[in-house]
Order: sequence, then structure tokens, then C-alpha cells
Amino acid sequence: MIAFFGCIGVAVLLFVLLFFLGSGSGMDERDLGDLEIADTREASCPSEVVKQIFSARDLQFVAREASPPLQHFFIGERRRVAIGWIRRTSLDLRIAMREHVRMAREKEDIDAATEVRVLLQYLRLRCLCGLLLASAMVVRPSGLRELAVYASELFRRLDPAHSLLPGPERASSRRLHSTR
Amino acid sequence: MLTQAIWWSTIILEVVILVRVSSESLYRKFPIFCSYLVYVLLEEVTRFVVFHWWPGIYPDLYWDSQFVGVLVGCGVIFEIYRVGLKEFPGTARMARNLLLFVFAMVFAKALVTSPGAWWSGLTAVKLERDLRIVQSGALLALVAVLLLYAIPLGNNLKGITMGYGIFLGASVLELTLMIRLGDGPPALWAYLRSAAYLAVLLIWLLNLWSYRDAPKPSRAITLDEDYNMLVANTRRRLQKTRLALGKVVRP
Repeated sequence: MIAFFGCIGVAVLLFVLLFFLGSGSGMDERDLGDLEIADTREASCPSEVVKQIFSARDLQFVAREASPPLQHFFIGERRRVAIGWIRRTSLDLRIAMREHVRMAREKEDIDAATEVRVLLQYLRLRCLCGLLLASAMVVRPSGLRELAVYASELFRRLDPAHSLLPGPERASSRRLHSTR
Repeated sequence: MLTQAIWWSTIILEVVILVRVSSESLYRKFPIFCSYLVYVLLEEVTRFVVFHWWPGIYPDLYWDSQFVGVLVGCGVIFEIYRVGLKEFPGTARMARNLLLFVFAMVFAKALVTSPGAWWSGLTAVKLERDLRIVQSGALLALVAVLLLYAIPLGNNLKGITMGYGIFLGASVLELTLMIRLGDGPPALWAYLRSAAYLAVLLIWLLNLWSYRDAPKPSRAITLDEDYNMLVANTRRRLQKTRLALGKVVRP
């Protein structure tokens, strides 16, 4: 009636959640306090600086110096800054969500569907942060943008609807895409 | 010999828990759970007596009492929900809807998958396994809400939840393996539920030894912000972060 692996999955999931409940890994007040302290200690990074961290322009400038140790040092530093920024952004997300659940749990008119939507939006962003973090550790920070450009180009080439467009429309579409 | 030892240990542990629960007046706080404990103790003693003096009727008695135990167990889940979310009526309403949804989904799936076989064609083992799955689903949903909304549980309630959850998980595992692999060699899983149940009784004993007041939830200071405004504010913050992340990788 109910699949074998489904039953095993339910039991395992129950054990995992009980482990979190027992270890107090929920969004407890102490944890939130720590996050708020971290929040006041660190100032948020302006978007221009963030763009610069992930931009290839500085790396190109350093590459012109033709000094491999300098280039290696630069990439290492940039990676550290990028990882710090991603962690910081992830922390911002956690603070926003924790503040939300702390206030929402006391509301009389809390709506399950809305809460699920907010939770999904939060989880998507946490996944994106995780993905960015993993990418920043594997490739150099400016490589992230190069990867995105490559993926975008690849998608454009593979997209059959786009390739059917006549020349001028395709050009305007590309212009729109590049100004985003 | 081992079976006898497990049997006697569970009976002794259940009696000790009930003594502690009575002396600490925990039955006022958790009446359904205490009724469940009394039922389980009576069930164990009756089974013990029947097993030794009237072994012929033991299988029928076992499955009938097991079924009643499952129903009383549903009351325990209801009590966890009632006591745990007492201070949070909105969250309690949401959890109730979620529980109803889980119950409806699992029952609907069971009925659709094998129409008409719910009571007649299934063996007692399958029936118990399916009911335990329903209970596990309900407890899963409840624990997820408790974790997500950081609902503070007192030690007593946390112990009840942990213990009953472990018992449910072990029951589902044991019954699923039993259905899949047949009766098989008893050493594999015959003692799984008994061992898990002993662990559960120890958890209950430790957590119900004395009455501990549940921690008071810290109230968030809000400027009478209504729920829709709160959601809009959170989504705005998440959207801002999304834009910041987007700028990083946007070609």
C-alpha cells in the first residue's frame, strides 16, 4: 500500500527532526541574540563594492603586471572577501527570517499558504547562497560572472524560440538582456 | 530469558514513571499522556498474564490491544499540540490545519491505493504500520512547526515528544521490515521495538522525574504591525537580498 522506501523515509525524517528538537537547533532566542550582535558589528557592503569583488577588471589589471605570485595573492584575497560577503548575506537572510517567525508566531491571523511562500522564497535564497559559496571556493570570484555569461550564451544558443527570431528582433532582445 | 527480562524491565519502568508523574502532579498538566501510560501498563500486565496462562488467545489480544494503543497514542500527539502551542493561538491554528492536511493525505492515499482493502484484506501488521505512518506524519508536521517557529518547549513536553517520536519511528521501521522480509530470523528486528521502547521509557523517566515549568516565550516588540504588513516587510527584505545576489552573477 505505502511504498517501502516511503515508510523508511518517514521514520528517518522523524528521527532527524527529533534530533534537531533534542539538540535545541531550532531558531532559539540565544541564537537570534548572537545574530543580532553580529548584525550590529558588521556594516553592510555597498553594491558597487560587491560588483567590484566579483568583477574581472581588477584581475585583468593585475594580470598585466605579469607577476604570478601577485596574481595568486590577489585571487586568494578576492576569494576571501567574496566568501565573507556571501556568508554575511546568508546571515542577513537568517536574521530576516528569524525576525519574521518570531513576530509571525504571535499573530492571530497567520496564514499557512503565505508562510509556505515566504519559507520557499527564503529556502531558494539560502540555496543560491550555498551555490555561490561553493562556486567561490572552487573557481575564482570573477569566474562566477564568467560562468553566468557562459551559461547565458549557451542558453541563448540552445533556446529554439530565440533562434527562430528574425535578425533585428534577436539583436534587440540581446540588447535588452545585456542591460539587465 | 531476554524476552522475560525486557518484559519485566518495561513494567518496572512504567510503574516508576507513573509514581513520579503522580508525586509531581504531572497528570494535571498532561492528562492524556498519563492515561496513555496507565493504559500501556495495564496492557503489559494483561499480556504478561495471558501469555503465561492462556497462550491460545494471546495473538488476538495482542493485536486488539495494539490497535487501541494506536488510538490512545493519537491523543498523545493531540496533547503535544495542545500544550506546546497554547501560548500561540495563530500558530496552533496553522498547525491544526497542517495536521488535518497530513491526516487527509495519508488516508486518501491509503484508500485510493487499495479501495475496499482497508479493513478486510490487510493483515494486522500492515494495518498497524499504516496507522503508525499516519501518526508519524502528524508528529513530523507538528515538530516541523515547533522547530520552524522556535516554539519553546518545557523539558517535560520535550521528553514526551522525543520519546513518543522515537517509539513511532522504531515501530514504522520494524513493521516495514517485517512486512518486506517476512518473519525472518528473530535476531534481526524482533527486539528492535522492545529495545527502542526501553530507551523511550528511560527518556520519559529522566524528563518527567520532576515538574519543570515551560520557558516563557519572549514576546517580540511590535508596533501593532498587522500580519500582512509583516509579510510584506519580510518579502521586501528577501527581495533586496535576491537583487544583491543577482547583481553578482548577472552577465
